[in-house]
Amino acid sequence: MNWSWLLLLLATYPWLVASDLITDTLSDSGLVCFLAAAAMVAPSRRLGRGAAAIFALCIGFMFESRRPLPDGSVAFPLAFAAIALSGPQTLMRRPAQVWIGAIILNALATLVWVVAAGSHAWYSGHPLPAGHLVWRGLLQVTVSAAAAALLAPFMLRAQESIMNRLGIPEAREG
Amino acid sequence: MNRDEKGVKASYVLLILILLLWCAGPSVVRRFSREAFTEFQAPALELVGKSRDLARSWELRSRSTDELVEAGRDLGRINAALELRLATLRDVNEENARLRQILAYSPGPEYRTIVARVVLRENTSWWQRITIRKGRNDGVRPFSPVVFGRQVIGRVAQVHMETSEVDLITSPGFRCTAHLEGDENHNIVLLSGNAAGGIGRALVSNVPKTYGGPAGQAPRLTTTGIGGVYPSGLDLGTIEGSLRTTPKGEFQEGDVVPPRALNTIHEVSVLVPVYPSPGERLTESRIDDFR
Repeated sequence: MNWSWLLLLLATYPWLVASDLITDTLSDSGLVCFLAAAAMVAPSRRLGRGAAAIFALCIGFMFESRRPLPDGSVAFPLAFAAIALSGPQTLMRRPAQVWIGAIILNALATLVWVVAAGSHAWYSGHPLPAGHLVWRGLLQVTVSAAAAALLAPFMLRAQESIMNRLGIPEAREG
Repeated sequence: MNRDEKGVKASYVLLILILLLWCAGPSVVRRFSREAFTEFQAPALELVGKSRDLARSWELRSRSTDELVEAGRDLGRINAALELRLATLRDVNEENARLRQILAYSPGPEYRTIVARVVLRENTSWWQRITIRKGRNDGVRPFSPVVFGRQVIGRVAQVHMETSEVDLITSPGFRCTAHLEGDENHNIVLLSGNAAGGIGRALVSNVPKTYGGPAGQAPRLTTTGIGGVYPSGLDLGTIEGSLRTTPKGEFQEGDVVPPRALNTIHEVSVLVPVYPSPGERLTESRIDDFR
C-alpha cells in the first residue's frame, strides 16, 4: 500500500468543502448537502482493500468531526462499504453504474447518520418527535441522493483522472 | 473459496476487530481522532472565511466616494452620541461599584469579548450550528455565551485550535433560563431549542398559566443570569403567536423567534468569563483529585 490514497483524499477534499458551502447556502431549509459517501465509490473500485478502507475511514471521520454524531458512526459503515466495493467488479463496470452506485451509497450513508444523529439526540436527553424525525430523515435522504446525482458525475470524473495520473491500475472485472 | 474472497473476509474480520478496539478503547483516542480530523479541515475553513472577507472587501471598494463620505458622516454622528452615553455609563458603573463595596456584595461575572467571523452555518433537525474563526489559541472556552450586541446567538459547543462550533439557541440541545417581559412575579421559564417547531424556532416552557403578557405586543424573553453562564438581561427573542397549555395542564409553552436571523449573521462576539465559571472550577478540582 502506497500513499496514493492520501493524495486522492487531498484531491477529493475540495469537493467536500464545496458540499459544506452548499449546506451553508441551504441553511434556511435545514438540509445538508452530503457528498462524503459518493466520494469514496470511485477510489474504492481501484484502490486496494486496505487503502480503500483507510480512505473511507478518513472521509467518514472528517464528516463526523465537526458534527454532534457518535464517534465512528459514519466512518466505520463507510469502511465496510469500501471493502465490499473493492476487488473485482461485477456490478459497477461502466461509468453509469458507478454513478448509480454513488447515489445509492450516498442515500444509504445518509440514512445511517440520520439514525445516528437521532439516537445521539435521544441519549443526550432531547429526543425529537418520531413523526418529525421520519419526515425530515426521508427528506434528507432524498436531498443527499439528489446531491450525489447532480455532483457525483463531475467528482467521479475528477477522481478517475487523478487516479490515472497517480498510476493506480484500472478496476478489475469479476 | 478463491484468494479474493478470502481477502475480503479477512478484511471484514480485521475491520470488526478495529471497531471493537475503537469502542472499547479509552475515550482519549476517539477525542484525539476527532480533534485531528477537525484540525485537518481548519485551513480550508480559514481559506473560505478569508475569501468571503476578500469578496466583501472588493464589494465595499466598488462603492462610490459619495457613499463613503455619507457613511463616515453618519458614523461620526453615532460616535458622538455614543461618547455621551459612555460617559453616563462610566458614572453609573462607578456608583454601582461604590454601592457594592458599601454592601459588601460579591461582584457579578465579568466577560472578555472576542469578536469572531462566521465561516459556515449548518441547520438540520438534529443540530443547528455555526463555525466561527476563533478558537483555543484566541482564548475561546467551551460553553461560553455567544452574542451579537445584546442578542443571544448561542453557546460554544466545541473549541478547536483556530475554529469553534457554536450551538445556536434554536439547536435541540440548547437550554437557558429566562424572564418574560411583563411578568410582575419574575417567574423563571425555560428556553430550549426546538427543531420540531420548525428550523429557526426555539421553545419556551414552564410559563405559568396566570401569565398574560404585555398588551398588544409579542412578549420578549431575557436571560436571568442564573447559573453564571449568560449575563442577565440579554435578549433571547420574542414569543410567536399565542401560548398553548401543556398536555398536563400545569403550564403554558410557546414558540420563540430568535432576536436575529441566525442564518444571515456574519459576525458574533464570544463572551469569555474572566474568572472560571463554577462548572469549570468543579472540573478543575475533579482533575486535581485524580492527580
